[in-house]
Amino acid sequence: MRSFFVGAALSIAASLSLGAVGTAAAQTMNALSDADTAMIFNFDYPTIAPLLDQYGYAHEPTSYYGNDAIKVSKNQTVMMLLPTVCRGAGNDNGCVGLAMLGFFRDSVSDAQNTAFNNRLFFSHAETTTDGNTVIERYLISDHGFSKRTFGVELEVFAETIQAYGSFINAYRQTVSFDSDQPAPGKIGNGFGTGGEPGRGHLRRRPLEAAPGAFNDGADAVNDPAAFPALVAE
Amino acid sequence: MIAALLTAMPTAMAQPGGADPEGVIASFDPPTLSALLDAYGYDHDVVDSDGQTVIRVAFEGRTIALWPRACNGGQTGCLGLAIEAYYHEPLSDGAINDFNKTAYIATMSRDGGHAVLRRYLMADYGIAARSIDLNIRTFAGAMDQYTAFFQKRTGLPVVAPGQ
Repeated sequence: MRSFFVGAALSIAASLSLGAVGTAAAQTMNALSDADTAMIFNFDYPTIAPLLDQYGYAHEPTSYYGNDAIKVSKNQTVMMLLPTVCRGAGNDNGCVGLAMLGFFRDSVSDAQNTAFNNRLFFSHAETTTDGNTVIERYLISDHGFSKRTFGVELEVFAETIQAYGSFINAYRQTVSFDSDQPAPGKIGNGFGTGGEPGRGHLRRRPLEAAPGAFNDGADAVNDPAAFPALVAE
Repeated sequence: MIAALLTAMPTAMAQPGGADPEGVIASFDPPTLSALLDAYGYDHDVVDSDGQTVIRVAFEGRTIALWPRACNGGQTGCLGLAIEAYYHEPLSDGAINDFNKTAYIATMSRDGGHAVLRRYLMADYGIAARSIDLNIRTFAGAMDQYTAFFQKRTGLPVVAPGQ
């Protein structure tokens, strides 16, 4: 047991050092103060809205397949926050889970997503059933969540979305973004409002379902053209 | 996992500093983690892997690795923690993608010839110590989910390290 474990650890260590780059870049050592460790105990919109203001994010309440959600944006990056595991009255408040989602129209191959996930394992990218892409990260606040650490979570997630945009640019022979439809060698950048009915719904509890599609009506789609292409490795 | 999420109630209040099992920790340094694992009753040992300290946790038949990351030089001031589980046989990339579609809490990936399930925590401005306990239990739920997924896809039992 030990030999395999150590062997696995050794071979994985190299990738970890690469994978940690993205998260480590945003992480700096901080001496804790009372202000730093001030906690929130749920991810309800009224709870996190002041923090989103404080950290400079535009935000608005929205609905995602019938569930309360929060559309959050900063610069060129758009994300959807879905409070989950809600224990309050009516099961619509007191939410101790938070799914953070970033959407891209179209996708790269599963192998390429696996490569991305192995390098930046702060969150993961997956291809949805309708051929688009979602980046996911999940937070838990059962025992409290530092307000300032939440700010770092948002920052790193935004960086991860940007990194994914750059990553998929590197795998695309992008010639133009002058129309809103995906085509071979090109990722559509249209932010339509038509919606895509019949995709099922996102259930409130984690692990039972991931989003099957983005919600066009919420405009929560990231444009890879906004992010510089990286050199594929 | 869902049961863990639904039954664990917010009971801890913030108590900055130290490794108080009901307080807030400022880093994932190995001594801090080890003290908390002792307090929460986890069987664990410390493994040196190519100069990096890894804490191996045995939890109800599962083996979970805790990797302190984003350290401020050496093994101190570690602001990130990778929680990992390893398996001998990786699924195809398509199957991995399918699994990740069902798993918010962790990411299945492939590194070399084996599969890796991961979750990453951050403590830049502190994290509730009890979150370590909750995340291990939640991660164990994701491991069970992967086991069931693997068996359904392949018809084979999962072979984890040591089995």
